[in-house]
Amino acid sequence: MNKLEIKKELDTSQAAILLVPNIEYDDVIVDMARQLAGKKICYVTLNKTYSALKELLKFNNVDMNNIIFIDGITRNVKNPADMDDCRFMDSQITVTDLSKNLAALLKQDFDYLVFDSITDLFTYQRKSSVEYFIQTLVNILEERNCRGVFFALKGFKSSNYDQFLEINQSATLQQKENLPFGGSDLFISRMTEGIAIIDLADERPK
Amino acid sequence: MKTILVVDDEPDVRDTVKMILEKKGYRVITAVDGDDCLNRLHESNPDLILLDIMMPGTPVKTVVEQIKNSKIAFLSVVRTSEAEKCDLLKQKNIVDFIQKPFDVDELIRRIGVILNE
Repeated sequence: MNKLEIKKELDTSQAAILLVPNIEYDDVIVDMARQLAGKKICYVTLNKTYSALKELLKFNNVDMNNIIFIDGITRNVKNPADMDDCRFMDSQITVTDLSKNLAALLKQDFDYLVFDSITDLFTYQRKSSVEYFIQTLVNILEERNCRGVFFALKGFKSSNYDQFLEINQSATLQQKENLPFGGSDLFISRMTEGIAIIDLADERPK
Repeated sequence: MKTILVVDDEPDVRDTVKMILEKKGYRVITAVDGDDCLNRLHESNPDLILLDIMMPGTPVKTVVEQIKNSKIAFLSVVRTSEAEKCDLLKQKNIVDFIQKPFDVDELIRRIGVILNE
């Protein structure tokens, strides 16, 4: 796995999209959380429940004192009460409402927003909506002086996700040819501005 | 012959599980989401419902509340903690929590246990 140096990547980019192989997913979550320890983090999860994330991070002795979790899963199966470090939201929320909620939340001066994951967003949203959401959220991050880390599962196969799987052959995006999603020209152009794509399945030496 | 209702928004999952279970002698009905599941219940009375927990449409908890006579096993690509699984299994009619991707033999074994076969 390509070594992740998330702070270094975000020195020059407003946001980073991490393309993560399934087998390394938990390791990357832990590694990233350790690297960002001490910073104020908003962790939005559509992939693991709040309880599963806490269990994972606690098992790996990651300091969670500065992390606020936003769990978009648990409310789908039961009615949990909000915790001091977690807000539960409806998973079927529209991207517009999700953007609004995150914009309000990010007024709390977070250093980093972690969005786990773009892949899971496809459960409920069309490709065009996901593009719009990412663009909007990166703009919000810029306004709030907050860096963004977006998880995306590499090689995930589903009919919705497949619609998003286009390899962009443009010379200007040659380095980003492993994007799991192509998308509109507007999205691609936005993707070149301030968003780093980090393919963690690259076999570059550590 | 026992009847199983497979509820999943992913056609690959529905088709694959249907094929596997029919080969094992079950009668299999499929549904694409929670609302479709509730409609299917009017047509049949499944012994077991395999229910994906992350689907568009009506939230799963609302669907579960309306299921009266069938056992329910959650299918989940989302990972949760063991404590939360135990908590979910305390809910009425919920008998198992099956993580995706699942091993075929393990799926068949667990269904056999649920249906007392």
